[in-house]
Amino acid sequence: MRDFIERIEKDLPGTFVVADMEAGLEHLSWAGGTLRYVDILLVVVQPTAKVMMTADRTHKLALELGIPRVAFIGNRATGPADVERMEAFAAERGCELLVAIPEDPSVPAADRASRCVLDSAPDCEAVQAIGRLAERLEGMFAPAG
Amino acid sequence: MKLGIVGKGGVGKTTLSALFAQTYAARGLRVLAIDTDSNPNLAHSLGLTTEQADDVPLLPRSVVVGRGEGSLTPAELLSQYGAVTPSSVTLLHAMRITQAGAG
Repeated sequence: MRDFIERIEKDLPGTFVVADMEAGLEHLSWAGGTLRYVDILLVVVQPTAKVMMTADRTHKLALELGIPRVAFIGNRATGPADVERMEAFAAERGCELLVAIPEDPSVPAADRASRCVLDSAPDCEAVQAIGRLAERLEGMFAPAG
Repeated sequence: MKLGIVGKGGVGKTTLSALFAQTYAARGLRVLAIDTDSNPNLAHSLGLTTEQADDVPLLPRSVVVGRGEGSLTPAELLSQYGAVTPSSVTLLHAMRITQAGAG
């Protein structure tokens, strides 16, 4: 997988690759680190203890593997206190919280209706937050030349 | 840009990955989404039906765990194993547990 991800960039330049990884940490440690060749590892967090504990372990493992950049994405923020908690969590690890996606009923509603959020609620808060994240990442990894 | 999305189960990785992939596709980028979960459901978030999701072929084992597939280029792998979803994002399935009780 890591060779494949690496070769995509050589053979198909400009391709944007999103790898949605299994919940465990195996893919980081297993086979020499499947994700070692990603440009940035985005760790999704919520302002809850178990999620942040897992995110902390993931972050440590990513550092050991030498993944060049790790950042956090906050999800299901119910208010400013949640955002602050997740920002502090990221800052304590020398990382950025790139975006805090608000709790948005449009997301589970789309799932219940078996629809894509982008189709059923293209202007909802969660979609807008993802758009901001997309722009931030484009700014961070703007193609040179 | 190669991006890995991780996090505890239930945190929203798949929904975010799909939204993210679709957002970039809508901006005209060629987007490849890889589901490495043994219980893959990124396909649903990308708008495929259960039948279509089940029809997405699994990447060869040698690509997933080996050091490259040798004979096939990434472009060939994409055309053979990739599923084009309604938003034009190409989806790859890296693994799937088929035995009952395994996972």
